[in-house]
Parts: sequence; C-alpha cells; structure tokens
Amino acid sequence: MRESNGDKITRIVISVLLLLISISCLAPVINILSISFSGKQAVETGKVLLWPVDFSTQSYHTLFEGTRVLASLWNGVVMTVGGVIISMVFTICAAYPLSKGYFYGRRTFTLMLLFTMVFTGGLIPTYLVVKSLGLIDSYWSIWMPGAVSTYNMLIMRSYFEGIEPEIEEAARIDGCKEMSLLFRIILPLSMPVIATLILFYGVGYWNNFMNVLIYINSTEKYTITVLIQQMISSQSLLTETLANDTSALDIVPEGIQSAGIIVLILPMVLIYPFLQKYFVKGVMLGSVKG
Amino acid sequence: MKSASKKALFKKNVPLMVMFAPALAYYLIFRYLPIGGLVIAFENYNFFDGVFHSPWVGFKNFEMLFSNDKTITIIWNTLWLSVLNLVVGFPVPIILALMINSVRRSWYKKFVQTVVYLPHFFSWVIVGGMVITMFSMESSFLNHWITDKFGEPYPFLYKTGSWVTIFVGSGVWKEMGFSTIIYLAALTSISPALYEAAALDGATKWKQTWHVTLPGIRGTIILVLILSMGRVLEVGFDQIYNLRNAMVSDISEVISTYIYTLGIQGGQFSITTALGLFESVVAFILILTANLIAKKFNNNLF
Amino acid sequence: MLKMTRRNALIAGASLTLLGVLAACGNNDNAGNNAQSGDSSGGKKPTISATVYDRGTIAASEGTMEKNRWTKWINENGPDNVKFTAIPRTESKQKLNTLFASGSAPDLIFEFDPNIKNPLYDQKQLMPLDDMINQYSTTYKKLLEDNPILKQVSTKSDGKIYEFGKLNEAIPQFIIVIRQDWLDKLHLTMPKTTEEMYQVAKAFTEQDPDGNGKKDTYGLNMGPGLGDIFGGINLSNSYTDENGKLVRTWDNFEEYIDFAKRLYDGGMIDKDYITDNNGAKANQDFLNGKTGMFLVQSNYSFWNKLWISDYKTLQTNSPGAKLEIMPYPKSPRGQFINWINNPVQLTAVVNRNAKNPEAVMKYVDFLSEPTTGRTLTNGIEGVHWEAGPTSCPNPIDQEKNKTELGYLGQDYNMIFSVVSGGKCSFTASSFNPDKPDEKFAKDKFKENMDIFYNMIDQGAKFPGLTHLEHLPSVPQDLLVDFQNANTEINNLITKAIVSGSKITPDSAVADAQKLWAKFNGAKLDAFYQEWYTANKDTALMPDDIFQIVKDQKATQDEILK
Repeated sequence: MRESNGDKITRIVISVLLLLISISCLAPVINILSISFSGKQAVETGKVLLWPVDFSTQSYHTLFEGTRVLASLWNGVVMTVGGVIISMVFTICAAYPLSKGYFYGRRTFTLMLLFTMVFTGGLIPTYLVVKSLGLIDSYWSIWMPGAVSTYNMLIMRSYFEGIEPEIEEAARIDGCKEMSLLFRIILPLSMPVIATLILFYGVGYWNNFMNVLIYINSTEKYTITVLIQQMISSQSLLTETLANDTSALDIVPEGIQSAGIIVLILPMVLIYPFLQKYFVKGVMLGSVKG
Repeated sequence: MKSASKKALFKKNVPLMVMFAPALAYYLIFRYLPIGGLVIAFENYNFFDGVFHSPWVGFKNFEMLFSNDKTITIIWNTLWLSVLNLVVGFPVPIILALMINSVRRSWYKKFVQTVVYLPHFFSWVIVGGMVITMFSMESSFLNHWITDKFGEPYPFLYKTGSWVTIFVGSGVWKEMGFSTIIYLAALTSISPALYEAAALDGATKWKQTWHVTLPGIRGTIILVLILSMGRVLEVGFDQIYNLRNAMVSDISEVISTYIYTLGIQGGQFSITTALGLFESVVAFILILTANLIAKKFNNNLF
Repeated sequence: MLKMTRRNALIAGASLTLLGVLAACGNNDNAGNNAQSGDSSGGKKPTISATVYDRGTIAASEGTMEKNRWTKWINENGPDNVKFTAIPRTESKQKLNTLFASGSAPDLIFEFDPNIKNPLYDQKQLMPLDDMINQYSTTYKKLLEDNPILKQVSTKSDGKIYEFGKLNEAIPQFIIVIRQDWLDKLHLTMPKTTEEMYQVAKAFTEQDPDGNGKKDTYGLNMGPGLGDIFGGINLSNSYTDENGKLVRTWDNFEEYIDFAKRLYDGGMIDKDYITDNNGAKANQDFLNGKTGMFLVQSNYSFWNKLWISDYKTLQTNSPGAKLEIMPYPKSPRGQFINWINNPVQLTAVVNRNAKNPEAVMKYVDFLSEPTTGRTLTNGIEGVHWEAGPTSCPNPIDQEKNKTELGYLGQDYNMIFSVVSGGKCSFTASSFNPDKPDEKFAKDKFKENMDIFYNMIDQGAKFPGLTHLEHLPSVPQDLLVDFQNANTEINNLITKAIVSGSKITPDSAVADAQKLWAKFNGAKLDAFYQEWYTANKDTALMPDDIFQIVKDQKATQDEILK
C-alpha cells in the first residue's frame, strides 16, 4: 500500500493543524502552572506568562497547609468512583433492554426517558424528593438524582444496537441465556463505549459543583471541585456582595487559585490515557475472531 | 404457532424486564416525581404555602413574561446564539476526530487527544480571563500588533460581529476535544476489513474517509444531532456571563442570564420556572421533529 | 404518539400526588430534626442550630467550619449547644432557598444580603423577635435601648422586629489615592473640582509622569465611587427630596456620563474597563505604577491591603512612588461625601419554625457580650494575643494566628456591634504602632478620617437618597420591569461613554428617561415615594448616618490621637 502524493500532503497539513490546536489548548495550562509556581508580587502585577517568575512553591504550601485540599481531593475520588459504578450499572440496565427490538414497550420507554432530558422539575422539587428519601448530606444524594444520564444511555444503546446480530445469534445457538449473553459477549465487545461512558460520568461527577453545595451539608464531605470553585468565585464577590460583607477576608490570591486548578485537573489528565487504549481500532474484530 | 412464538417472546422479555425495572424505578422517582414541581409555573409560589398550596394564578406568569417585548428579544437572542453554536460546534468535533484518527504515530495521536481534552476542565471564569487577555483593546498582543500595523486597535470585544465570533469560537474551542471522544469511540467499531477492501479498490485516504469512515459513524452523528436539538434554546449561563459586556448587550442577553437577573432580588421561582417550561416545550418539539426527519434515514431514536 | 402523551400526562399527574405526600413527610421529618438534641458535650444545655459561612479557607488541621476550636469554645462557654450548618459563601442564596423550601433551615440564620432575607420575610419564613427580646434578652435588649436607630431599622412594615443587627464603624467605603510624586513632577496641585481632576488626569496621561518615554499611563481607573462624586447613579437610590417629594436626579447621570466620556475619548482611562468586572486589571495597572488616581475600596482589611502590601509592591515597581489621599472633588452637582459603610447593618434572622426561641435569644445575647466578640475576633488572651501598647489585643504569633484565627473573620459573631466592643473593636486599634508599616497605615487612617470629618462639617451631601441596604425591595409585580430598566439603563450609560460623538450626554439621559418610562418607571417612582412618605422618619437616612459618624468621632479621636 503506497501513499499517494495527495495523501501525503493531506497528512502533513493535518499534523500541522493538530499541532496548532494542541498548542492553543496547552498554553493556558502552562500559564496556570507558571502562575502557581511564581512569587506573589509577580502574579499580582501580571508578569507571569509561560514561565514562572520568582520561582516559589509558596502557593502550594498555602494550599496544602491552609485549606482542606487533601481531604477534599479524597472525597472527590470517592464520590467519582462510587458514582461511576452506580451510573454504569443503571445505564446498562436501561440501555440493554432498550437496544433489543423485541423488548416490550421499547418505543414508549425510549420516548419516556427522552422526555426527562428536556423536562426537569428544577432544583426545589428534586431536593424535596431526595430529602424525603433521607439521602441529604450523603453522597447518595449526588449519585441517585444523576445516576442515569439519558444522553449517555442513548449512546450506549446505539452502540449495543450496532453490534452485529450474527454474533448474538451464534452465542444463542451456543446456549447463551440473556444475562450471560450480556456479560460474556455484549459487554466485552462494547469496551470502547464503556470506556467513553466511564469517562463521561467520571468527569461529570468530578466537575459536579452545584449539587454538592446544595445536597451536602457537612463541609467535611465537600469535594475538591467545590473547594477550588469557591476560591475562584470569591473574586466575583468583590463586585457583588462583598461591599456589605464586613468580615471580608482576603480574596484567595491568584497564585493559590492556580495551584488549586492544577491539583483539580491533574487526576483527570492522568486517568485519560488509561481509558484511551480502549479506543484502539480492531477491538471488535479481535473479539469476533476469538 | 402464533401463541407459541408469543410465549417465546415473553420468555425472552422476562430477563430484560427484570433488568429494566431498576432503571425505570430510577426514572419514575428521580425524574418524573420532581416534574410535578413544574406546577409552580402556574402559581405564585412561596415557601410558606409550598408547591401545592401556593395561590394558583394560571397563565399569569406567562402573560407577564410574554407581554414584555424584552422577553421576545431575549428568546431571539438565545435562539440565534445557540443555533450558531450548533452549526459551528457540531461539525468541528467530527472533523477533529477524523483528523486525529488519520494520525499514524500513536504517541502523537495520544498526545493530541489528551491535550485537546484539557480545556473542558477550565471553568468559564478562566476562559473569560483568557479571552480578555487575547482580544482586549489595550493590552492584548493581537491589538498591539494591529496598532503597529494599522495605527488603531480593533475593538474585538465591543463590536457585535466580532464578539459573537469570539463567543462561538471560545465555546467550540473549549468543548471540541471532549466532544470528540464519542466519535473516537464510534470509530473503533468500523471494521479494518472495510478499509483494506477500499484500499485494494485503489481508494485514496480522502475517499476512504468519505465512503468508509463517515458512514461508519453515521449513527452516532445522527444521534448526537437529534439530542443537540434539545439544546437549541440553551445558552450556558457561565459562558455568556463571563464573556459578555455592556457594549454587546443587544445580543448577549439570553434566557439564562435573564433568569439570573430576575432572581437577583429574591426567589422568583414561579416566573423563572415558567420561562424554563417554555424552553422545555420548544426543546421537546424540536427533538420530536428531528427524530421524524431521522426516521426517513432509518436512524430514528424511537 | 397521542397515546404516549396521555400516558406521560398520567405519570406527571401521579407524580404530583406522590410529591405532595413526600413533601408532607419532609416537613415532619424536619420537625424531628430540630427538636433532637445533637451533642453530648453540653449536658443539660438546649440545642439550637445556626448557620455559618463557609469560605473554603479553613485548614484541615483546624477541622471544618462546623466543628473546630471555636465552635467548641462557643459550646463550652455559651448557653446552648449550637449545631452549625455551613453555608457556602458564594452560593448562599441557592443554599438557603433550598433549606427553607424543604423546611430544613436552621433556627438562626446569619446573612448579609437583604435580597436574600427580604423575600424570606415576604414568604412568612421568619419569626418576629419582639417577644423573644422582651422576655429573654438582656444584652441585646440593652443594645436596642441604647441605640434606637437599630430598633427602627430592624422593624419591618408590619411593625415588628424581624432581624438582629449590629452597629458598624461608619467610615468611607471607597477612597481615591493620588500619585503625589507625579503631581510634584508635573508641578500640579491636588484637584479640588472634577474639572481640575480632569485636567490632572489629562496631564498624567499625556505628559509621561513615569518618565519612561512612552504614553502608557492612565489618569485614573473607573473604580468604585466615581458615580458618587456626581451624587450617585444607582437607579434605586438616585432621588432627592424636594419638600417631601422624591425627584429623580437625572442630572447626576448626565454630568457623570459627560465626565467619563471625556476621560474615555482622551485615553485617560483604560479602554477595556468595560470587561474588567472585578477591577483585577485596574489593580494590576495601579501596582505597576500606571495609574495616577486610584479609586479603591478602603474599609476593613482593604485598608491594610492598600497601605501595607500594595504600597510596597507599587514602590518596588515604581521607585519613589508616593501616595496621598485625595478628598472627593466638587462636581457640578455639588460636593458629595464618599460612600459610607453601612453603619447599621442587619445580619441575622430567625426561622419561624425555631423550636426554642429562648435558647436562640440567649445565644444572641452571648454573642453580643464584649468578651465573646473579642474572643471570636482576636482569639484567646495569652494564647493568641496579649494587651498591646494601646491596651488592645496584639497578636502574639502572626503565623499561628493565621492558621487558628484566619478563618474566623467575623463569621461566628456577625451580630457583634462595634459599640459593644469599645474602642478595641475599631479598625484603628488593630494597628500596632511599634511596627513601622502598621504605624504608617494608622497615620493614613487618621488622615482619612480627618478629611472625612472635615467634609461632613463642610456640608458634603450623601450620594443618594440613603444607604442602599436600607431601601425597600421592589415588589414582585414591578420586579421584572425594574430589573429590565436597571440593566438597560446601565448598558446605555456604558454605550454613551464609549461611543464618541455618536451619543451625547443629554441624548443619553433622554433615552434613559424613555427607558424608565417604558418599564413602568412611574409606578416604581410612586412605590419609592410611598415608602419614603411613610418611613422617612424611621428609616436610616443620611442625617442618621452622619449622626452616627459624629457619635463615633470621640472614640476614633481617642484611638488616633
């Protein structure tokens, strides 16, 4: 298989384009990283660009010693891992039956689930339900209301539908029952979509801010996102309500905010490459042959 | 014979129903129960009387909203910005996925994939700050360069046209890497045999993309498109709140910021719920329409 | 299709009923919650619940905002077992709303924002406090008797008291500082009128005061208080009393627009001020020695930030920089005083479902005690502070205090009045004269107060009808209109400032008046008029504010002498 000239040019153009896009996405991270490692004065006067000025680890010291960052980091992990497991179970439970043409009420149920994508009861009614189930102040109050994202469920359903019927037929002839079909054939074949949804749910739980603030009352259960987001939005208080806030403590300095952002996104950056390997070509084919 | 097959069908359905039950229960309890709370759109809701005993006002909240020509402007703004977001934001992740997919070196592929996913984790406060750094009149590199060349800086952030471009562009930039993931996953389901066959027929990469790759992820594309229809009246609050300024207020006042402004003085739950309900109805109609169109191509959801 | 819709409707209907049942359960549940005694440490002490802001600034070693050395101290030394619920500072409205809507709000709620508390009153969520105070209170009752203005202000339209409050130090909230070294270099004098201010700004911009050969300086920043120089340009507050009749002060808007417009056209302010919402860019320019006149927040911790840390940074970046306080210049609308810190501030309300009003009242009394106030601000004597040269608390170990006191602010004693604490709770007492930089900050504070008193003596007017927090909140049916008018007119003002010759100040004001009329401005005017006629004698008005300033002068003088 020789590469034609046209293909070669296309390939180079694409590589360069991707490089430019990557730079645009990487530069802000480097900027934030540099700010987090710079001296306070240099940050305040806006001198830091893509390299630390007056190198200092003070921001990290303050962050780790002066706030609950470690505890909240752990909370974030617990909430995310627990949430992903629950969500995946519920999502599979919904997606698999709906992917079967012979499932009773498939159309009705799909429409019914879709309906909730656009019609939501809003914060207070949902809060009342969660409260009456006694879930307030536990992570269940985050996990349960958000257990299934209809969007994610439909993605999974459509992936299941795309699995060639012959594979299924063959398995059934081998005597596979519905459940073992799911666990032994369908799920292993669906690793790309499972990896995708783990990522989607994981990122969703990790970034969850408002729900944690509303449903969780004990601050010892706050997650890292809540902690860092609060630091970032303390800035906006200055213009809005701080005028009447007599105990206006200092706004969290930008250097510490930046250190917080780095700590916040680091786990998400580290986890992604592990999931990426499931997006490799040929997973499907390999399983069919095996 | 007929009843036997019915029986067989039922038998096949039992495990599925058992499986579906928890999901259904979930939807009924956590999604459908709270929907009842939408009645407050027709009430003058207050905490004292609660959701069910607040004074009933019928369509008064809607009348109050829609008799105001400002509301109409705001709905148009929302529609206009979100359609632009969709038209630009929808194809970009697909193209990016195809581009990433065409990269041969696996380390470069992984690198690009990881890096473009980063902006998803920046909050809009941060992106807003970056936008100002890049496009402000007096301190951005861009305008320094323009001032050197042409003598006068250009007010990118203060002219409607350029602001809308920046608004849409920053949204696309922030989310494209993350939205690409779903297509990258879908691409894995295309059998390499199809590419091999196409290559044997002498198809160039370009043609392979057109005739193998795109059809291979067509289902996903249509699915995402139908679902994004549901978001046509949605312009994210954080995005617009952190990017807007007084000079572009004619276009930048949208439903989400309007709800925020109304809420500044206390709990305007009924009015804001009424506005939200209107949004939902429109979104639902759009989804149904999109699904009907998709049905023509046999890619409907239900 | 149709069939399914009907089914959905059915489900929705069923869900309504169920939700009702659940909501009812929710309320009962809550009643149990309030009554249960939470802690073991208190023995026979009654249990109440109270809110405390969470700002995310507490160290892990200290615990949480609900449980730390200070909550322990409160429960050991106070009359009650207090169960704290943390309210995220930046989202307190959302959090409090859900707590109230679900009937799970704590007994005692500390909140600054009247826009959160007024709706709670309107929705009958608050307990009237008169009986509680009369029956159970001693300390707070005395505070009310000694300061009738506090009682007046905390009384709502139905004639009952609904809020606890406190008296604050009445000091300028915003000031202007000017680069004296630039004035000297360009042979200029301190501007006394807005016209002179304009000329100085022009010279600062065009005559290269920093001597770097580049035209890269600004005359001033569009900071807080600029509108106040022209009498205030806040829509709900821009009225003046003409024989008991409220008249809208559109002229203030016109003069302000004219002034700002000339600054903008002349490049004397940052052309990107519109996008600098929180003033971060302006602050950066100031620290980099680019700003000639800096309008800045100056109360509480902002004073130290300006005169100690920021001044140091400025002098590093721009050696020889010298700052002086610039009294507010006289504008064509007259001489106005700086915006003043709210001197009578309402900060706490009681949930109408509170089970034990007596315990709540006892706790409020406890918080009003001078020793409580001192401990919850400065810490424990001998551990965190010792009596300094002024006999007021002086920190022993700054680093230790940063960790152990840093998260306190006044968040646990938001109802503690400056008058209860005596001179030691005034800002000026916090400076340690043995430290040069704090002594300097104190000297500047004295200078600022002298300017302030002098201006009041000279008859400077308050920039607005009264303090914003003491205006009534707009009634529900006018709210949409009011918010629309507010945003549209403010946008119009900005556009008028930056649009060059396209919009003149008087056409802008004419347009603003049209907008005001379009959004039912007449009704809003009537609403404020009605409120004013009924309440002008009891509400906090500028004369009352000036009186408080005068009352506090003796104490300030004693500290600053």
